Amino acid sequence: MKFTAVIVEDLSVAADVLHKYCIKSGKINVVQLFKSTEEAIPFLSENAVDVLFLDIEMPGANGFSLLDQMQYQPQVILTTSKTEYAFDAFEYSVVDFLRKPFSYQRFTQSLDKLKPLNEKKEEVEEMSHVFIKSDGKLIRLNNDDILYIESMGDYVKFITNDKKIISHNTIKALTEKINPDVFCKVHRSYIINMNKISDIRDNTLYIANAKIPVSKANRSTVMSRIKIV
Amino acid sequence: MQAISDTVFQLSSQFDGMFLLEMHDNDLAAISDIFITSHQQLSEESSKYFWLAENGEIAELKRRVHLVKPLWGYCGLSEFQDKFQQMENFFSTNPTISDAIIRLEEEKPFIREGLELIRMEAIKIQEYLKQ
Repeated sequence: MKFTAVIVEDLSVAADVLHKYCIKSGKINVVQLFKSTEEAIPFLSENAVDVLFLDIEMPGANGFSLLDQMQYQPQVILTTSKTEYAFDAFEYSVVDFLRKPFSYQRFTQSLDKLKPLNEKKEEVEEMSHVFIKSDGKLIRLNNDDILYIESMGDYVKFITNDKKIISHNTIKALTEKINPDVFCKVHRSYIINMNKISDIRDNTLYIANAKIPVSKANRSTVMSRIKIV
Repeated sequence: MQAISDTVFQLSSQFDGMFLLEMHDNDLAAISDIFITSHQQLSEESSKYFWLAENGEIAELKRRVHLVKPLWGYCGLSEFQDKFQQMENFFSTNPTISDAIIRLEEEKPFIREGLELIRMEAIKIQEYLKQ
């Protein structure tokens, strides 16, 4: 089975060569090519892909801002002509970092680092709950019990109907670990359980009695995930 | 893949021929296409550099140098890509307008040289493919 992929690259020569490499490998099915993050966001909000080939410096928003706005975590291979981004790449847990221009051989080395598709699916199936570290214990929380998660600097607060549990973690790190079918990052300080929203008014949503802000960057993703009849 | 005639085409020594042939599976027509597209884009972009410098648009100048920088590499001219990287680094330091113009004056001959290399090589390949 082939990986589905999207290429986000503003330089057409680079996008063409990368596309050609994908076809040649026989492992990647490129479903779309985009020239900017702004063009890619609406598509990626509605279509989950396995792999994202992403340039970093592009007109408008850069590649990392696209990763910040995504509600699921595809496997990311960065393509750039600068090496200064290596540290950020590490922060975003990218699979590989390709310096343009790169050879076909170097490209195939990147593909070898991708997690097989069945391995990823098993991971998601197992994501019906999380274990969080708090007060020296590992506490099990079922996804369905979590209303939302709020950032507190280096800590996060898990809010359920009857308790608040504080754990050493960050919203960014959690985004990659929680079940993307259930949870959604709506703001840099909030992840919510999509099944718990009671009301949305402008840029605020309500869960139980809590008012939760929705950032401009995340609004289109949130709206694309709710069913309006 | 291009059929090879009785003489084998040799890319000029300034180009990383092995890299280009591997990238395009020995397809000379594809290499020629890359040369033509890159030449056009590099010419268009570099023609704006002086105007941007004179108008103090140094951040935009830096961004535009960055944008087309890899095209040199895609043409097998890594030395020119490195030169563009140095230019980009220089413009990142937010130089004065006069320093930016002096730098562009210094770089002008090498940009011309690079563009001419690409243009001539594209013609050479096309002549060979017509045989």
